[in-house]
Amino acid sequence: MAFALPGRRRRRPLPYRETTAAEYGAHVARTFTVTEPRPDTLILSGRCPRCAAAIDVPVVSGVFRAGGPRFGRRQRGAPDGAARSRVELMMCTCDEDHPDRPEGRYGCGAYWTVRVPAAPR
Amino acid sequence: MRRLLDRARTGGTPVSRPLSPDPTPATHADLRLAQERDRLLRTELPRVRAAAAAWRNGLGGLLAALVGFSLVRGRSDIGQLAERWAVAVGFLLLAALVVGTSGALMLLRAAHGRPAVTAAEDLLPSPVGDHLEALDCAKALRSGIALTLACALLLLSAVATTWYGPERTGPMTQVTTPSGTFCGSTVRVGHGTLVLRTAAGEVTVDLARVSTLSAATACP
Ligand SMILES: [Zn+2]
Ligand SMILES: [Zn+2]
Repeated sequence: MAFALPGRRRRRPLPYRETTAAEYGAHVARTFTVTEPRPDTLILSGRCPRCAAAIDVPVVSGVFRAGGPRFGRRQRGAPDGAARSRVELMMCTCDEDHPDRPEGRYGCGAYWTVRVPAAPR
Repeated sequence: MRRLLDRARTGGTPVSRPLSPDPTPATHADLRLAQERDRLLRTELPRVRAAAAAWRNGLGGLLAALVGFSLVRGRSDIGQLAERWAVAVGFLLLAALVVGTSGALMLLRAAHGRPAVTAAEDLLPSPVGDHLEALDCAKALRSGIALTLACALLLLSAVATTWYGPERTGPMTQVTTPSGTFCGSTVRVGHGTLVLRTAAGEVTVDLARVSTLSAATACP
C-alpha cells in the first residue's frame, strides 16, 4: 500500500538544465552575502537564482593537487584596473534532486558570472 | 530575514565586498570550468588525506628501518667514541627523536585530521570547511615530510659520527715531579723511568723523583 504524504506534496522539481541568463548574475550580485573565514577564502552565500536552493560557493585561491602545481584560481579576462575586482564563474551547487541530471553532476545546471571585489590591501 | 538566516548558517562575519553583475554573459566553457573546480573542491579533502596516508606509510617504513639500523649499530660503537663525540651523538639522537616525533604527529594530523576542531570552523558550510581543513592538512603534510626527512638526516649523522668520530683514548697518567707536572698516555715503564706521550711530545720521567702519580680520564 502506498502512502501519500498529506500536506507534504512537493511541486515537481525543476529538471536539470545547463542554462544561464543575464538576470542570474544580477540577482546574485544583489542578494548574495560575502563572508571571509580566512584571508584568500570567500564564501558567497544565497539562493540559487533558478532553483532557489540555499547554496554556499567557496571562492578559493587554490585547490590541493598531489604531485602537481596547485589548481590556480580560474578567472576570466584580465583583472580590472589594478586588480580591483575579478570575474568569478559560479554555478548552482545544490544537493537537491533535479531530474535528468547526468551522473556526477551537482546543482540544477544554472551558471552565471559575478564580479567580486579584491581584498582591500 | 533570509539573508540573516544565511548569515547565521555560514558562521562568519559578512565582509563589505559588494558584488556586481558582470556585463559579459557566461559561456558554456565557463560552466565546464566551474564544474571542474567544484569537483576538485568536493574531492580535495579525501585526496589530501590519501596523499598524507601514502607519505605516512612510506616515511614510517623509512624511519623504522633507520631507527632499527642505528640502534643495532649505535650502542656498542658509542662506548668506543671519544667522550665529546659520544655526547654529540647523544644530542643528535635526542634531536632526531624530537624532530621525528613532531614529524610523525604532523603526518598523522594530515592523514586523519586534528583531534579537536575549533567551534568557528564547525559552523562553516561543508564545502568551505572541508577546503580549509584540506589546506591545513596539506600544510601539515608538507611540514611532516620536511620534519621526517630532517629526522632521517639526524639519525644518519648520528650513525656516521659513531663510525667516523675519533676513538676514545686510553686513560692518561699525570705525574708531579720537582721539575713540573706532566700528563699523557703511558708509552712504557722500565729501568726506573716512565715515558709519557704528552701534548708537547714524549717526556721521560725519573720515577724516583715522582712525588704524585694519578690516573686521569683527560689531560688538562
Ligand atoms: Zn539551482
Ligand atoms: Zn537546486
